[in-house]
Amino acid sequence: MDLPQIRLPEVNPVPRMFIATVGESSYEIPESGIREWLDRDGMVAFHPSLPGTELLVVRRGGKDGRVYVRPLPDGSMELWMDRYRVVVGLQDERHRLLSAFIRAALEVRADCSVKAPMPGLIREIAVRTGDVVRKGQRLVILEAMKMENEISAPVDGTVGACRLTTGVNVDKDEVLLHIIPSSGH
Amino acid sequence: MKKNIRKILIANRGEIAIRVMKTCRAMGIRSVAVFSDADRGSPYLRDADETFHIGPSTARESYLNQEKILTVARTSGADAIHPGYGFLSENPQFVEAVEKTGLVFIGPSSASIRTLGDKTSARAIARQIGIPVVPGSDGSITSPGQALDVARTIGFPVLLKAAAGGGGKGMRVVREEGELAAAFKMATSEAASSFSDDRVYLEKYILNPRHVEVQILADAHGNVIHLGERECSIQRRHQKIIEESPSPAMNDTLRAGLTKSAVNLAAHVGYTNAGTVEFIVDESGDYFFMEVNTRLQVEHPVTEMRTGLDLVREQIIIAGGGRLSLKQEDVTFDGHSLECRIYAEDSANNFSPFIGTIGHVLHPSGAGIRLDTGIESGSRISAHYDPMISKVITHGSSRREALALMAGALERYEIYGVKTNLDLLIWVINHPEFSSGIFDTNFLGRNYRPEMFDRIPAEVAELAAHVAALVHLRAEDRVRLCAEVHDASWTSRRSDYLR
Repeated sequence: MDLPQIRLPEVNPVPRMFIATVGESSYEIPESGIREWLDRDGMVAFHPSLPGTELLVVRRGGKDGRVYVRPLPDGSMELWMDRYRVVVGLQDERHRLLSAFIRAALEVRADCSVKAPMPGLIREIAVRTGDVVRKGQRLVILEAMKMENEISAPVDGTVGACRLTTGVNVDKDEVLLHIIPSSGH
Repeated sequence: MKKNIRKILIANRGEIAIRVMKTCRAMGIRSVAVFSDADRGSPYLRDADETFHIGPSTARESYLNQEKILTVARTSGADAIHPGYGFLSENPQFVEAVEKTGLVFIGPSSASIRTLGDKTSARAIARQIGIPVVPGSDGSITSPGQALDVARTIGFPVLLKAAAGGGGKGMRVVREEGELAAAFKMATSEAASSFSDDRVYLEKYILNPRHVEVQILADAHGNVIHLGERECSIQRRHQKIIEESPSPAMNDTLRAGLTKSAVNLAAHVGYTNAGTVEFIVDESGDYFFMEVNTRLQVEHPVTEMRTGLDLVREQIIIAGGGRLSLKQEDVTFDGHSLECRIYAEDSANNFSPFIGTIGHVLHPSGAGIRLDTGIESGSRISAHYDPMISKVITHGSSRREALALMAGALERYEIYGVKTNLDLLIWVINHPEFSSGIFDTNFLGRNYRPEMFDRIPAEVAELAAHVAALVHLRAEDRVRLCAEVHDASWTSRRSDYLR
C-alpha cells in the first residue's frame, strides 16, 4: 500500500536578525553582521568573570578595551565599557513581534506611585493609608547622602496602601506609596 | 607612661582597616578586624591576624556598637584600639569607655575630643588664643528667633551647622530670612538623628572660600609639629573629593599663619596624637579657623607622600607614650601630591550613591601612584556604609606632574558594575580652572552640569549593540553544545545497549 507523501516545508532560509535597542536608538544586526564586525575590528577575547556575566576584550578604533556584560532582571543586558553603562534590549525578529502584540494587548494603567529618587533610609513617614493629601504636601523624609530629603505628593489625592516603615533602607526607584488621584482633574 | 602595644583592634572596615593593618605588619604588631553581616568575606578581613563578627549590617548594631567592640577587644587580648575615621573615631563616650578598661585608644584623649570635637567650644578656644574665627553665634542656637537675631547681626547668607557634626551632615546654607526657620528645623533634626545631639550653631557663610587644613602630630611629652597643609576645596555636597598638598593658594606668609595657629591650638589644649585643623581662606587671602578633626583623615596619604612619614606609625608610637620620631625642623616636604576619592555614585543624578555589585575592577598602579582600597571584583556596594571605592594618590615633583599621573591613572581605571565619579574626576583634573590652581569650594557649583555625565556616544551604543548580540550568540552556542554532548553520550549508551 502506498502511503501519501508528506512534503515538509523548507527550513527557514531567512537569515536571523537581531534588534538591539539602546535608549531611543535601535540597531538591526543580522547574525552574519556580527561575524563581519568581528572580522573588521579584529579580535575578541573572553576573560574569566563572575558567574552569569561575561568579561571580554573588544577592539574599537584601533584600541583594545574591556567590556563587562551582565543580564538585568527584565531580560535586557547591561554593558560596562570605558566609563559608560549601556543597557541593551536584545530581541530577534520573532521576539519583537511577540512582545509588540503583548504590549498592545495590555492597557497600561496610569500609575501615581511615589518612588524613591535615590537610595536611602526612611527617616519619617508623614502620612497614613487613607489620608487625603494636597499636591506638594510632605509624605516621607528620606535620608540619603547625609541629607534629609523631603518627598512630597505629586498630585492631590488619597494615600493608598502604605506598607512603608521608618528605619528601612530603600533602593532608587523603589515604590514608597501610591496616591489615588482625586477626581475632578 | 610607656605602654607596649602588641595587638591592635581596628574598629572600622574597608580601606582604612587595610591601611592601619599595613602599618601593624611593618611594626610587628598583630591585628584584629571586626565585621558585620554585610562585610563577611571582604578583602580587609584577609589582612587581619584575627577576625570577629560583630553583628548585623546596620552600623548602629555593629561598627557603632561600643559594647560589642569592647567585648571583642577583651576576648582577643588586644592592647589598643584604632578607630580609623568615621564610626566611633570622634565619639568621646566611646573613647572614655576604652580609657576606663585600661586599653589604649589610638587617638586623642576623650577630654580633647570633647573640647575640640564640639564646634562651639573649639571656636571659643580659638578666639581666646587669637586665631581668627568666622563671625557667628557664641555657642549654640536654641530657637529660630535666636537664629534670626544672630543672622541679622552678621548678615546673610549664613550657614547652620551641627555642633557635634562633621561631613556635611546637619549643614544648611541660608540665603535669606524667609528660609531660616525651615532650615533651622531641618538642621536640628538632621543633627539629632546623625549625632544624637540636636544643637546647631550659626556662622557667616563666606562666599567662594577655599578649604585648607593643617595636619598636626603631638605627643604626650609636649612636642607638637605640623606636616604642612592640604587643599580640600573640590567638594560636592560639602564633602571632599579631591585633596592636594601643597595648596596652590598658599604663599609663605599665609602658610606660616595657618601652621602656627594649628600648632598653637593643639599645644594650648594639650592635644595628643594626629589631628587636623581646618581653616577657610577667603578671596582676599584672610583665613579663619573652622574646626578640628580629632582623628586620622581620609586624605592623610597626600601628607604621607610629601613627607615620607607613616602617620599611622606615629599615631601608634604616640598612643603608646613614645616621643614623636622627628622635630619640626626635620620635617621635609617633597614635590606635590594629589588624592582623588572614587565613589560609587551617579554624577548625572545628584551624586546619589550607586548600590550594586562591582563585576570587574582593575586598579591603576605604577611609579608615583598609590592606591588605597578595600574592594575587589565581586565586592558589593551596600546602602549601609559610605560608598567610597578607593583613593587614588599620585606624587610628582611638581603639581603638573602629579596631575598628569592622576589623569593617566583615572583614565586607566576599570570599574564595571556600578556607576562611579571617575568621569567627573577626570573632567575636574583636566579643567583649566582646576589646573590654574585658582578655584574654591564652589568649583562644581559654578562649572558642573549633570547632563555632561549623562550621554552615551553613538559609536559606544552601536558597539554595545554588537557585543550584546555576540554574547547572546555565545550563550546560545553553549546551550547547543551542552545539548550535543548530551545527545552524543545518549547515542553512545544506546549503541552500547544495542551491541
